[in-house]
Amino acid sequence: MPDLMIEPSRRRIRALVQGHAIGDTTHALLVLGAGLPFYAFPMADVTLERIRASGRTATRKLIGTVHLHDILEADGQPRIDAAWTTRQARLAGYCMFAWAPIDRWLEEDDHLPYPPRDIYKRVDAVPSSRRVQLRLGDRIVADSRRAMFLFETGIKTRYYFPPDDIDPAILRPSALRTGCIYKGEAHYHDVVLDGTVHENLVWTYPDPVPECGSIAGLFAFANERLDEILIDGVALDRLADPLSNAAIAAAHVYVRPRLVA
Amino acid sequence: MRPVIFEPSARRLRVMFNGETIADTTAARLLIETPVPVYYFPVGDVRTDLLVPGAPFEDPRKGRGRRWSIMVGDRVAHDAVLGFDHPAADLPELGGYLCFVWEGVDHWFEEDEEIFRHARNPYKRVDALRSSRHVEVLLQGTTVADSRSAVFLFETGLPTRYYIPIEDVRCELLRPSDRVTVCPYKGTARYYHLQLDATLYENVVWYYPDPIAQCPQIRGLLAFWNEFVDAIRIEGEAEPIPVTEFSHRPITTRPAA
Repeated sequence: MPDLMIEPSRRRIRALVQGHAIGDTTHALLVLGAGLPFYAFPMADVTLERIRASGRTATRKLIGTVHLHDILEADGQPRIDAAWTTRQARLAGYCMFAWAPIDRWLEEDDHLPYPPRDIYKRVDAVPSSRRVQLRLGDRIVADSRRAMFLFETGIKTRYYFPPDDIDPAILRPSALRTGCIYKGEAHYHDVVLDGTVHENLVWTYPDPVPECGSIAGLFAFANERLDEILIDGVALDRLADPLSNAAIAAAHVYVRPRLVA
Repeated sequence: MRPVIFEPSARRLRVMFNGETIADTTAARLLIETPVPVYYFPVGDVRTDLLVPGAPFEDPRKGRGRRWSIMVGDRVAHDAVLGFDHPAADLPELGGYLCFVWEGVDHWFEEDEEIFRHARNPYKRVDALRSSRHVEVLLQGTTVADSRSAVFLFETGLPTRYYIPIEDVRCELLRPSDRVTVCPYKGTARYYHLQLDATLYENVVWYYPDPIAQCPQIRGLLAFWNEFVDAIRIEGEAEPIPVTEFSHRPITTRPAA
């Protein structure tokens, strides 16, 4: 089982409630390995008079028992269980905020719309002339020699197709939206084929984050829900792969720069 | 012993030399021993008919092997290929693979994109964030940059770099330089010298006129070596001077012409 990874961050991190920075720090810790990454704020950088212990506890993966707190709005209204603390040695003295109850998160001056990035993960979108064909049932639903291959650390390759290389009759926009800090907001489509609706099988990023600009407007399919993926005519033997967090932890080969006072 | 990762890569890799494709594989592995990873090619995906054997060598971590040269037409890439016929006990799979000295060959491609300098490490990211924190750069007691609208570049394993808009830099002090370097995560960097009184501080400033697609936010912004300026102050407070892989090559100075 991968261990908790705790990295001092040099980024200024702010958590805003009703426009007030309840946490504002340049000495955050980035905590990796316990679900989605999160920031821990030194107590000194938290507006403690707006935090009230609730007496409740919860259990968190790799951390154990945590003590829950309410955040108080300006008029005293509580946001229930919006903050937590722990006696876990490496996080003692820090305050953590739940993601959703905070109105706005900032990394430096950039809005952080989703939980933070893992600094040991990258996303490379690379153009490829390898032929990619996707089969659903007995139909080839996408066929391209100019897809963008998206390599995201720990995840199977995703293939992003130009709209012209997808059977146009099968896509029907759905209402689903999901967010990813590495790519942006995904808009989903159902695939309607021979009377069967495959809900949210396809997604696209109309306006991806700048680092992923090259997938804008392209369409990806959920590999694991297809019947076959052919690359240059050869079927992939596995459509989906489990994430390998162990590899990420083992790859922790960076030596943090030494600092001279 | 230091852990080494030898993980499969999903990327098609190609290596070119003198117009020939020397290796073309969809079954590469990435060896991650240091922050700079190395692609390994299955022997069967390498044009071994173009290789001639060279000297044996021993690597303290990976085992014993042999170097090979590539001969294509009138050109020879001496010792540009390495193989491990007696890999270390914990890395037996190395035996079936060959790797290339990056600069020994002409071109590298990941899928259809040419890549430069070295393989990208999948466990390293580069985040560029806009910041209104006050950044001041001091060299020889002179404030050479003063900004509240820098882009802070956080690159895993390196100190924060501050990319500053030209209007916030004393650009009348900049002098052209021919230096060009390439970073696989950011693109091709160009440099400036900086002149203070009669002294030229060589290549102390760099910028990316046309960064790669993954790093568009730093286009045209100017960065200074944290390691070699007197101080970078953030909100009035001097950042500690970092010691990095670059520290052993300090910037040089010479009298201005």
